[in-house]
Amino acid sequence: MMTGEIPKRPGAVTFAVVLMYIGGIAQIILGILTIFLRYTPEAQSGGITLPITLLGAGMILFGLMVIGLASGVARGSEAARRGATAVMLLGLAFAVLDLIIAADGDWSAVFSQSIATVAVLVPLWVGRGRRYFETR
Amino acid sequence: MELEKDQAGEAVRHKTASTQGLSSAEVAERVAAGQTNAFVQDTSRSVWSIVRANVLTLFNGIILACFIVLFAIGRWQDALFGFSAIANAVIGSVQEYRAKRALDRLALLNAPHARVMRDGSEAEIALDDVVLGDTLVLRAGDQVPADGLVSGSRGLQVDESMLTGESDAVEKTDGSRVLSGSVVVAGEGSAVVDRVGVDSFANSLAAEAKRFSLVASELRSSIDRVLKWVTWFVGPVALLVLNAQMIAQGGWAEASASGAWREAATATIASVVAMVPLGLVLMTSITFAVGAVKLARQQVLVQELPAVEGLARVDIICLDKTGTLTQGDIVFDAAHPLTVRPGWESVLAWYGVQKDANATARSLAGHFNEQPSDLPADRVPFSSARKWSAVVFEDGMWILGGPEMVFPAQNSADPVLQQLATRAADLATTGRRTLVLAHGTPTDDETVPADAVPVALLTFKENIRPDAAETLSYFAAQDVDVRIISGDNPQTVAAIAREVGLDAPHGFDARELPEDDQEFLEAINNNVVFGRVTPDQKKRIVVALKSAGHTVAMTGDGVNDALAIKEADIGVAMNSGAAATKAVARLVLLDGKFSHLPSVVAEGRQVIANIERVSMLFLTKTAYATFLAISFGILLLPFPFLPRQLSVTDGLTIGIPAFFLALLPNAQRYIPGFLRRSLTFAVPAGVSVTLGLAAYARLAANLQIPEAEIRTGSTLILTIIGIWILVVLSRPVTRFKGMVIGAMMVGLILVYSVPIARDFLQFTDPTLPTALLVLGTSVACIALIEVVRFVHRRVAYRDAQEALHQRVSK
Repeated sequence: MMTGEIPKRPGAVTFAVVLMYIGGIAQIILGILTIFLRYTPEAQSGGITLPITLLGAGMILFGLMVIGLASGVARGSEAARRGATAVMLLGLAFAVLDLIIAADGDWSAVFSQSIATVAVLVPLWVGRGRRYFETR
Repeated sequence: MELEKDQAGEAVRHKTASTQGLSSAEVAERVAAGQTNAFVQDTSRSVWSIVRANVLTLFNGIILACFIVLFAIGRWQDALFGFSAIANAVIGSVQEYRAKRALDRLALLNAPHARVMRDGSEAEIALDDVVLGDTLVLRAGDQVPADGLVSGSRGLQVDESMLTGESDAVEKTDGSRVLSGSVVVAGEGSAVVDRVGVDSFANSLAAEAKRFSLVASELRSSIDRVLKWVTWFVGPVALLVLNAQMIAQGGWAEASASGAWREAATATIASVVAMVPLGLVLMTSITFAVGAVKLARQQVLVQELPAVEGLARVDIICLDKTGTLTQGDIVFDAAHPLTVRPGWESVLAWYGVQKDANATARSLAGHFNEQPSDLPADRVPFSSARKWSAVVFEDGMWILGGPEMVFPAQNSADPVLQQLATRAADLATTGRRTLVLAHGTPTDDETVPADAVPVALLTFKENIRPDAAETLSYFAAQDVDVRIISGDNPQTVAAIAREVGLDAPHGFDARELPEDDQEFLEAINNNVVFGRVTPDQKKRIVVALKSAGHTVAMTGDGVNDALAIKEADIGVAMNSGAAATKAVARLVLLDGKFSHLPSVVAEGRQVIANIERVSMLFLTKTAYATFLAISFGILLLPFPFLPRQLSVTDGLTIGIPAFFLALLPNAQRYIPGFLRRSLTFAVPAGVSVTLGLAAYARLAANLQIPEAEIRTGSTLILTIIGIWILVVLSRPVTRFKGMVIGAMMVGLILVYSVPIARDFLQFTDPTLPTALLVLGTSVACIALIEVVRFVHRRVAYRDAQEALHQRVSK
């Protein structure tokens, strides 16, 4: 039972939560679109409908997890904050990996992912945001 | 004060010593003749009743009938639900049996013992082993194990308030009857047993008391009501669906001739089985049983499982002072000398070590050690009428008793007596008990000597339990009101209440309680501490609070609390209490620690909040299954599921997650209105699912999509929506709940992608139109469910506000 006064959520944390929600929903929509790729003639003829469907389903699950983490962060859950941090850093690592493997010199993914990571993580770990989690 | 002395001590001692008790041979003979005190008390359910409750239910009957039909028409693959029914019955029986065994073992371990004479020596035996003709050895604090006739008494006094309503202790002399269930409050003695087992008074009373006590459980009665509705619905709905399926298969005549009736029957069974909330009963009993076992680990014995639910609703708790606030023992506080008279310390030391000394006198022993050099010349025994006792030594007569009884003339001009009266009154207001030790010339007629002078005023205080203040502050934090009702002096009780942090400026004397019910209730509402409360008044207080809409818990350990404990919604007895008290209590605190109550309340809340959440899952399923069956029956559409597909959906969205959700911690206080609240979610959610699936089936049929593909799509839709309902009801989704839900989602993906599962469930690869329909339906239904949840939360919030408002206005 919480006895002390529940601290009000700082605006910066809410901002990070909204970003995560948008990211999660986008991921789900992307996942659904991916599943529907199975109906393209290429996929049908290539016999890769199952992998494509699984990939899409995985993306939807991931999107749902991001939304779950976002609601955890909104409640001030320490585990959700760590989870969100891991997810964002992992996303950045994948972007970098993609840049290296593809070797196409396309920095845009790394760039956008870095901005997202900073925008989400800084409010959670710095200043009032940090105190918000520490008091819970 | 009750100090006693044995006038004819030697004679009694002689008589007791001559009583050899029964010999082993005589005992064996009586045991063989069945003349033992053995009495099976219905504290827990029998194995047979557990199995019967879990196996022989109407629902299992319906399921079994469906199961047999499917086997008969060779569709055994669709009989998956039969196994889940068997698993339900087995798990339910095993869980309840384990709980029963744990509770039985505890009950046995904590059974009180009886002291009897056997073969010339004293023996402690189990209550059940007392036989007819046994000689009971009774001492202060003992509970009489069987009815008997007193064969020796040394100031034997018995509290029979539970049996006869007489609140004063009754003195027992040779030949008088002692009744089982009464408690020896002072003195010692022996009695020969003449009535045992069912014939004894306490057992007949306990059996009587139990017969009429059934815990009012809103959960249980609500679930029973839903089950009754479903039972009424199942038959007609099944016929409706069967008709629609036969027509979908080309009409009754054609379907019967072509053998397509098998498809129709299978689809009908799918619709019927889905309506039955099989797991709901199971989850309820398991949650109760697990709650009871968890409480048992904390030394709380649950005598009736639904009592766990009642705990969650308690909003006022009545406490007897002894055993809850205080430890029940008296400790010596201080001596205030009034007149100089040498030797008074050694007299007190003598009082402290007497074998028949009561608790107050015994507490003197720790402070006064120097025994008098001579043996006493005479004694005056304590009597409840006189309220004092005396001992004669060479230097005169020493009298120990209540100041107002030893020196009744309060208006005496003697300054010492005046000082005594003022100080005694002052000390009493601080919650202390007072005794005076006086000295005078010996008298022969058991009266206080005329020349008696008060030598010392002694104060005693009750030992306050170290955990009392903490426990009371927990209740305050949880909005549970507290009333202290005690038979003791109101000022004493109030002083103790203040010491443990209660706001009790004064104690209310229960003798001044008004007769009128309304005024009586007002007095109860406006005061916290009540003293001089009789057992009948305790009961009346509980009844008044109940009729004012409170859910009342009552704790106590004395026989005088038994009536109130029985009347309370949740009676809590201490293990040290009388058998009669324990028999009528729903909960027994085995180690007598009142500080367990917060965790007991927390456990109750967890159980009820979890059952409410889980039952919403099950009721939603019953709602949509019923609506689906009715609407598909009316629309004459083929039922869009195979029984096996529904079994899998069921497992992923309800059965498996419910298991985990039912056992999560939950601290919310229960708000009445469980069924209404559950149905305000379940019914609209069920309608949403039905609308979605009916629209999907209609559109798919218009698009000429094959039936197997329609079923594949509808199973997918139902599972997606089912998981979403799970998400909605699990909010806030914590890490553990998130993991359970995530696992169910992965399960859904596996069911659709692993070839064996796909083949078994007869899934086909959905074409683009089906996939689009599934997507559209799912999104629309999820949106509808969110709206339903939003409205439902407002209803729940309003309920909570109303409950709060009612509490405040009370």
